[in-house]
Amino acid sequence: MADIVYCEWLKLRRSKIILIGFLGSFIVPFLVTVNDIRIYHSNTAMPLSLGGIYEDTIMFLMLLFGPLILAVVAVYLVSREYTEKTWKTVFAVPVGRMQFLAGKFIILFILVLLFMVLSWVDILAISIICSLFLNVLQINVMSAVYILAQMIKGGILLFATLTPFIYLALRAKGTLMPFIAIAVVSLLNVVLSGSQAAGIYPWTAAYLLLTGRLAQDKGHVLPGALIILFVAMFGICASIVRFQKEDIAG
Amino acid sequence: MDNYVIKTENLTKKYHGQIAVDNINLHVPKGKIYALLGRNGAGKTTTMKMLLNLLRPSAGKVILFGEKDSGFGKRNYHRIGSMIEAPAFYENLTAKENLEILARLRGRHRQDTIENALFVVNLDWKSKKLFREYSLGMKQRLGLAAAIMHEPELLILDEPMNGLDPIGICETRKYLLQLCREKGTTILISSHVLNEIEQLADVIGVIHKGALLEETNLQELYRHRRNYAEFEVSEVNKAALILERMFSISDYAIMGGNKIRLYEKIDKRAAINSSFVKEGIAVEKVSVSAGKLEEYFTELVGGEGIG
Repeated sequence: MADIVYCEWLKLRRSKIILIGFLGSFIVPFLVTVNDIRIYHSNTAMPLSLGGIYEDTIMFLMLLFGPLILAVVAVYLVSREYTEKTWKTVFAVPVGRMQFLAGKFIILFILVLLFMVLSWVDILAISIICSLFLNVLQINVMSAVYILAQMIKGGILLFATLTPFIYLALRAKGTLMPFIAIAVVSLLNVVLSGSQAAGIYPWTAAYLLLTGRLAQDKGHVLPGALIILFVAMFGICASIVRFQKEDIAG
Repeated sequence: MDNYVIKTENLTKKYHGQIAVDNINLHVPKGKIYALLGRNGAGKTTTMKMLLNLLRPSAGKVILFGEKDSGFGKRNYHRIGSMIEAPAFYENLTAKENLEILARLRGRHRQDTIENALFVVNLDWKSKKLFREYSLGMKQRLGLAAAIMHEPELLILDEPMNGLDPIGICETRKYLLQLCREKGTTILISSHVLNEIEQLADVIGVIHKGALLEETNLQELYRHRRNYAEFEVSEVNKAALILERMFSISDYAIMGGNKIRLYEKIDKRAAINSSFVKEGIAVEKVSVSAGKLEEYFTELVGGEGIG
């Protein structure tokens, strides 16, 4: 399995999607900090803090940028095998379809975690740079470790909600349908994030669960967590069933 | 136990009720080059894909290496090299990187495997050129390198000469013959280029509209089918007399439509033609039989339409 995952990594060499993911992981903390500095200048009673930058960053990452960019990455990992017609080449080796699919899920998981860790590095770097010119609170090891742990948890939750996009890419054998689905999911994230339904909509529930807001609304933690789990299992199981019976036409 | 590396029993593939491959019973003998001939859409690629388990048969079965009860085991892929349709590789990677992925997935290979395979197909293993920048011929050669890289016992090649220049075709042919004769590799090849197949194949199978019309040994086919020159003349009986008396030809046949076909001294057809004219016989047409395989193929599948 290590070889399969390594090969998935090799396939991404010189790939623009990695650059997009890399830039995406940096852009959110950067924009959030710019906005926080603007607020600080208009109201100096609200000082900048590492925790504040993290909270704003994680909101945008979990609700908008994360699902958007990482779902595109998930779709790319699968759909390129159809558009470049490479399934027929890699299937002519003694590796089972289940293993190929597992390789796709594992590399997606690694990329999601990498995306979150890079965002964490960016949050820290920007906060430290800002602290050279402005008063930035909470810059300490404990906060940094806590934020890293939260980012990793967020990555796991994001991954769980991304698995259906792998299934969609397998089903569509291209990018159009999955990209429409990504747009719809992201739009609903924005629309539902402040509503009562946010706790049961998997992509917003992941953010609420991570930040503890789901726990504040008693009784919503379990349904929210179960819905996320269901979405993750659906994505994995449906992909397996679909992929096992598929004819490689291209 | 029979000595077939590939054997199929009533292999069938249907797409939405349409039959693409119809009850095919292939017999590919060990250590031979078997050519699958057929027009576009005849079912050659579909058959090859089923042999490789890329497509699931609607009915029938594939028996590889005589392993009747095992179905298609993953381990078979260690023993098979394949190239189906246009070679497909990751466009953002070089030839070496693409082969490295396949070698890693196969799990066992010598360090020089990739280098050797690229050397055989005349591609530079150090080249930084990406697959997306390759010409059709280079892509085809990389496809062949991927197929032979692990020294398989069985090669399944779908139109491997497509896009190759004449020298590339000649070298590929020589290499495939060498693999078969020296290493005993069994090769199943499909092609439209019949004169190429004539120089390569031991056995041919003709597939048409999804059905396998005939399987035959090429040498036997040649023994039964002889070259001839055909004259379309005004008086066949007089022409026959001239052939016998002036040219001592006895191996000829009078066909319908004022045609006379001679099977010997074909190279004397110009002189024969002159004699016919001198003796007052009008010669409407002189023709020499086309390539034996081409003629056989045309007779079997019919020549209507552009294939």
